[in-house]
Amino acid sequence: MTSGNDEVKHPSRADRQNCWKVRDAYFECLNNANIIDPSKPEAANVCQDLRSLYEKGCMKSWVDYFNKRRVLEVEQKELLERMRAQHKAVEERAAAAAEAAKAKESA
Amino acid sequence: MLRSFIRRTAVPRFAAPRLTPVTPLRAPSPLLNVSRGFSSKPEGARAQISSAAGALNWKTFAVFTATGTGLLLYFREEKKRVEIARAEEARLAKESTTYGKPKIGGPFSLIDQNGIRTTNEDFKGRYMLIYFGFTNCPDICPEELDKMAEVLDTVKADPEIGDVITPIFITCDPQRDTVAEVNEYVKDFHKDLIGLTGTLEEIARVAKSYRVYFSKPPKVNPGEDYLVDHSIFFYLMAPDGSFVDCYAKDHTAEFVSQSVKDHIGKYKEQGGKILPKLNEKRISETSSVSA
Repeated sequence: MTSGNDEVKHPSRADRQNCWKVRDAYFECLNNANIIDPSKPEAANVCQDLRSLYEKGCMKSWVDYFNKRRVLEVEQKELLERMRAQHKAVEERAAAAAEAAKAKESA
Repeated sequence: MLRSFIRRTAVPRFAAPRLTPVTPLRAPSPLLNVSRGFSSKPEGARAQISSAAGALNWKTFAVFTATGTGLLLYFREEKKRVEIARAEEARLAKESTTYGKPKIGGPFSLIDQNGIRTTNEDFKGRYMLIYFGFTNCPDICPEELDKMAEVLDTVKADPEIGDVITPIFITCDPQRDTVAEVNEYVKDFHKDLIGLTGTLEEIARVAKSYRVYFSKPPKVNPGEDYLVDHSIFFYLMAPDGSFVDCYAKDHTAEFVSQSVKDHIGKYKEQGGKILPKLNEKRISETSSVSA
């Protein structure tokens, strides 16, 4: 069986790699435009050429999946960042209080 | 408000320390670049510093030191937490291999990429590395299969171990993954990789025995493409077909290779025998068909 087999419908390694490449290019463009969700109306007017390459280069189910995942990932990261920032603020306050107490003691 | 914050920080300002324990199994690789290292100080700290900046005295110094110490403590704390989580993970992994082995795996009868009826008996006497996926999988399966190929080559190259593993791909999407599809697919990853498909019932049975969950979307119109949701572990199975260990997406190829080598090394130390090749019957049948 050769790669030109008519029966085979799934994307080949090269198809996959091309899809990831055009996806990354499109998402990079969205990043630069500060747009997270490709399904939102504000995404319709930017990066149109890259978007059409992306939608041509990847199966529809993949496009849907990558788009949803992009949104989820940003939300997850955002949550994590906020948690870390809070954690840090608490630590800093505690450290500052300890430092102040020490300074008072030695004064 | 949340949304506007996201926009401002499209490229994250704060570097995440190692995420291993919090990352869910299915979490894909980050799309945005996470810059590593320290970032600019938070608003609060900056405000404190500027208000005290007028007088260059011990107070300024104290505030500055406190900020630095806070950051340092935070990262130390975070590092400690991650280390504890790792140790716990390692302990659990060890425990599962020494006693109380879970009942994972079992007999199966499927069709290989050359159209030959193939059962677990055909792989007896050798280790198996089994991965469940589907040929239309967007990114996780191909990445995992590439990792599996890397592990295979690393383990094979070790003179103490050699060629003792049969890598197996089992589709969770038997409706689309015909013998021809699977044949083409496995060639993409490793020359030793065996691809198995079957009827929906056969696949459901083997998935169940490996505790693999998979689901096709409920409504798929004819001609419409779809993704199959499935669990993504790979399984190391012993020459007698019993479960040895399983590996998740966040385990690197180096980690898996080492772990696999350790398991096989221990087995050999205890006098365990492993066949250097798949059994004759299967090989002759396969070559007669593909010739």
